[in-house]
Amino acid sequence: MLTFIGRRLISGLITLLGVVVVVFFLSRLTGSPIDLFFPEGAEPAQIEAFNRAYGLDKPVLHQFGIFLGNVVQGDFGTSIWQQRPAMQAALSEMPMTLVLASIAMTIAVLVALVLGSLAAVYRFRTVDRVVTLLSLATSSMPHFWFALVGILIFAVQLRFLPTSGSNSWQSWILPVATVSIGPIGVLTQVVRGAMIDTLSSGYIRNARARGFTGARIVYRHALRNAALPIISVAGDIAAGMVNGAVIVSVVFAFPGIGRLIVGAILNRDYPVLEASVVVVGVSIILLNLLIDIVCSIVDPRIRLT
Amino acid sequence: MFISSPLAVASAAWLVLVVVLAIIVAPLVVEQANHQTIGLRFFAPFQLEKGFAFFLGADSLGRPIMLQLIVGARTSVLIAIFAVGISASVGYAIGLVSGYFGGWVDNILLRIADIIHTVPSLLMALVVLFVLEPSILNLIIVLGITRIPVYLRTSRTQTMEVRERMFVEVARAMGASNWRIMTREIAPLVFPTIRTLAMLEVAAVILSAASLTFLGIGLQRPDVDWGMMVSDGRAYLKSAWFVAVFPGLVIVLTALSANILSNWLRAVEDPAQSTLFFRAPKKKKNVEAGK
Repeated sequence: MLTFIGRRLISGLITLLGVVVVVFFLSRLTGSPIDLFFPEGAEPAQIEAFNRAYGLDKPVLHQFGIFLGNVVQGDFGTSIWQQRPAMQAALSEMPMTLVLASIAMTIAVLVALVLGSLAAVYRFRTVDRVVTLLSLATSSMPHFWFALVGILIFAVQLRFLPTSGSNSWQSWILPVATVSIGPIGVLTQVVRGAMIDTLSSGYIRNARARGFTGARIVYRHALRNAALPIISVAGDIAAGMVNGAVIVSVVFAFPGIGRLIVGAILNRDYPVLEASVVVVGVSIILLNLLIDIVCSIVDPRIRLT
Repeated sequence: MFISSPLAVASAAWLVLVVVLAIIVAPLVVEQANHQTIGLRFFAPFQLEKGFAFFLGADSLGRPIMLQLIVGARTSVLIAIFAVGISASVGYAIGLVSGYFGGWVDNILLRIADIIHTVPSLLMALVVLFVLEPSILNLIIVLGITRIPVYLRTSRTQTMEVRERMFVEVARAMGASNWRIMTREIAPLVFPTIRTLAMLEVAAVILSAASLTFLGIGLQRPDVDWGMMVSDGRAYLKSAWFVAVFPGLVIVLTALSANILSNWLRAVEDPAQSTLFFRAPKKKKNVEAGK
């Protein structure tokens, strides 16, 4: 177990290094922040001072060397846009995103468990068809449009939800719904597939033969074994939630890493962009590791090597 | 079986309609779609007095929404066909090689796929598109490359499984070369999965492209995209709902059609999993009714 975790952490670090390299060179290609921060015809001396302060006067490869050295020490440089350490900016926005993603994930899993199990139990019947169609529809829904229609109906027409912000619990409803709508569709399909597999297995037939009722079989016997595929797709879905978080930050002005990333791109704030992508990358790598460990606990047949 | 499923027929019909409009009608109406008529600002939908072009209303600059949707269809069709085409064929091929030979090539390719996978797709595309000039071609390149790992992993796993089967062994015993085994023996068996996945990815790519253009990155006028139209209508949600709602509806319909067709393809391959296209086997009533 420990060697497994160790090896995964090392391979995670290599992946992370790749991410850092890619993001560094991509963001250096996006043009210089000088055009953005200085009016046309600014003093050359001023620009030079700015370049020197942020290390932009050296060749790109040299910049990369310095950057890598600092990154190893956890230093991503100072935000050009917010005038504070980039890592600090990224870390201070992350909790909000984690909370949003956790709530959305919990809701998505609960809804998917109910809908997916219903569909599996009533396979090939109307319930199943409706659930399947519904789940296809939710995974065909663009986040941003769902969010806007939500605003149109609940904020503009009915007026019982705010259009933006994050101050009251009401203002969380639409963002959470927006982030969880896609995952609900995908997870429902996964739950349905997994439940169909387990419900047709021998031990379930055995349980039925011993006289257990339908509902009890579903939630006591089948769900446990159906948990595995559900947990293993959760990692991919969590990564996808960052996409939702970006949209939510734009549409609802909702705080979090999405808002920071969009702001960093628009302000050509390299340090913050790099720090945020690395923070997101680390979270996803850790989450995937956690998922593998949980899978091996749920199903001891899986050996971690 | 295809004809007997109204849902699959309707989805296919919608996709065909979108493609036909995009290829044949869109080039004819580009200019008219971008023509601004301030007098017709927020012209309400479902009226025919200004002509069929204005049936779905006009946006904040008096441009006909119907025609913009058609021009936007061209963008979506181009992106969907080419981005999915690039990523599917590249991922399919690399996955075959990687899964067949294994070893260090496999390790490196998998590592690269991991890197692309660790950065959320929208984030990756945002960063890349901010570098490149906004154009349909660049959108295609970005979406084409970022979606490769999806196919690569699938094709690789399948290849590794098929590689061990008896008929591959037989082919090798009969002196077939690696190339021949890969292309003639293994590839045809991996193909159906890739095809189903590609259909699924059509929906995903259309949604990603729309998200990017909604964020204002990736495309500029006179190119039109559905996501861009939603973004234009966002500011006028209170006064003119239709400007943002119609393009979104078209996105949902198109993505849903692709998803349903993908589901249908899977149903053809594995009837046990599908519900939309197969009737339940008839059972005796009392077995079902007994609680």
